[in-house]
Amino acid sequence: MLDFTVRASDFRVLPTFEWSPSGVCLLTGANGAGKTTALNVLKLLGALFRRGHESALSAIGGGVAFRRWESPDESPVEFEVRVGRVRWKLRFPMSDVGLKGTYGEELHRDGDVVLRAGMFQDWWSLGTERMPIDGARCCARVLWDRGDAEWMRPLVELVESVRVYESYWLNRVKRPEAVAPTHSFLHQTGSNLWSVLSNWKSAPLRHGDRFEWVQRQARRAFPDIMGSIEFDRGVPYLFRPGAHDPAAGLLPDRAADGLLTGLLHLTAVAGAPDGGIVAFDEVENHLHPHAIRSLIDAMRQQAEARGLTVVVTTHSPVVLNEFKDHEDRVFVVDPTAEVTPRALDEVHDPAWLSHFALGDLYEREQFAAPRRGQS
Amino acid sequence: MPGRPFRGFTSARLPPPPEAEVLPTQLDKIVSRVIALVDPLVGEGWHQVCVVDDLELVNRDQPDVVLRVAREAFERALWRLHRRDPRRAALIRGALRRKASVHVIRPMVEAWFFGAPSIFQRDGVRFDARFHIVGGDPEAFESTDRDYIAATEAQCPEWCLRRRKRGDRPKWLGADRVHHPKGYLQWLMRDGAHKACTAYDEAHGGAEALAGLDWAALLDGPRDAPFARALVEDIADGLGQPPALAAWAGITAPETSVKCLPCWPVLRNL
Repeated sequence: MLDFTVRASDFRVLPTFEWSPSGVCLLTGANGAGKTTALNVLKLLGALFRRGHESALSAIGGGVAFRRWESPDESPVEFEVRVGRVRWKLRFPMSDVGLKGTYGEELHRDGDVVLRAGMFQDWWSLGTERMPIDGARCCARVLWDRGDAEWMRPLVELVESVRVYESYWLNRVKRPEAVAPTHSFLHQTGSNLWSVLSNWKSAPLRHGDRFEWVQRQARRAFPDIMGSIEFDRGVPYLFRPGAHDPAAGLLPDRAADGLLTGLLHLTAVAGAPDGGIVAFDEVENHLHPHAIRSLIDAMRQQAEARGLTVVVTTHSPVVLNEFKDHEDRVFVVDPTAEVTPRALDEVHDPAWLSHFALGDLYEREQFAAPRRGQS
Repeated sequence: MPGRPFRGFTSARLPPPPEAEVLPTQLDKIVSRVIALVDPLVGEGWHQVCVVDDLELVNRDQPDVVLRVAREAFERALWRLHRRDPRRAALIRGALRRKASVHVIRPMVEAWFFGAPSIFQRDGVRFDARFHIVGGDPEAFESTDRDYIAATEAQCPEWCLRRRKRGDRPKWLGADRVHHPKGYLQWLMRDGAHKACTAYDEAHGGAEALAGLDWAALLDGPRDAPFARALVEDIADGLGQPPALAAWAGITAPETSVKCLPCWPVLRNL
């Protein structure tokens, strides 16, 4: 994938968010600093292009408190994606309770405006053409669907590849419904985990070695409890290492939460399209430090081999320690900064950082610490 | 004895910054691990524990400072233990003195590979038997390879495409590349398609090369690799096998030699 930059202004707690992640990146910050908001920028852009603005707003929890409360009433919330020669800009006129009217949109190619829709307008322009707003699709999507704008491909591949995993529905994972034959990547709730794994396992020509990779990495991360996964008439069974008795398989509701979370993370990464973006909020939940280390390593392998961008947020010193020697891929979100996030090796001198474990520095509030009230 | 990797403590210039008084450093973690290994009450009963770290370019000129910092870290840890449990601290002090040592490689382990270059043939390095090392001692590595010294970013298109991520920056683009054996090895194994423009992988290929190192070739000359010789001397002494070193007799680095101890040693060699 080409390098890309996402930008957002006055979105929730973030005054200006501007970021160009690549490889496996970590976002950290105090509670309420805007880490999840940053992931929501990605989620919003992906959902908007795929399914339109109503679905996009719904995906990030609605339009309430969408605009940063310190920003002026008339100031729109802006988003922008730059990838290669393409720039996509969005402007949302927001009140405290939601969208006030039609949002604005611009698409640039090599610096030239190709399409433009003004805020509150019910039409948009494409060169000399004037077209009515499509309530279900953004203008960029309408243009792409016409099939004569191949130059948009880098943007389309980028926004369509975005997958953000905030919190899995473990109860659904533990009590799976019947395997659905069409699922080939993980839903954001993780509830189709077993369908995805079953489909990968049953069709290796179509899905490559994804199933084997997930199983292999899960064995590394959970060496005491993970042996193999088998499906019997669509029902998943988890076997411990060395198990030979077919009756020894555990149904998912008896599996450890950590193991299920690990399988979900791995399946999300393995299912991402080449060059895609996968994000995990608080990636450490339920996981033992050994599992965290193995999973981060597995993510790096996939990111390197397939050009993925993997974004994780965390409050875990263990996760932070895994970014030692990768300080340029640790980003600190600070909603009081003019522009956020900043790479850790810009916040602190890399030579100074090298003396310490990042987890210790975080724990001792040497970066990404809460701002104390000033009297 | 199996090796266990750890995060080094020498990648920035030592001594550590003042914050190290209140924040645990990478070195403090190493010290804790060593103490845990040799602790006669709860340790794993290891016969000998050698910490080996690169000096890196930033500390290449001051092994004395690096080793003083290491020694002080052990002393601090022992003092903290003493305040909590003097009896146990005394036991650990004795165990450290008998079993533990700290060694350094000047400037980094890849220097040893240039002292025993047969390893390159095995790994298929583009290395046409020309030595570009001044002085013969690999621990005083200095490349005179003009192509290497003149290398530019243009020779690493993949890294440039990746927006010049600092972490992936080829060492052979560094300012002090002349003294950088890892940078030179990366250069010799350069691969434009790789994100860091080299096929050399320290964690895997480097570890394999170290495991297959021809120590006899490395320590062939009596003045070659004095820090490596001090390590071999220490291990041979610990195992009670001094004849192993006799074949490679030569100068050992006084900073880390078990034969050049201070008045009140804390470790086998410091």
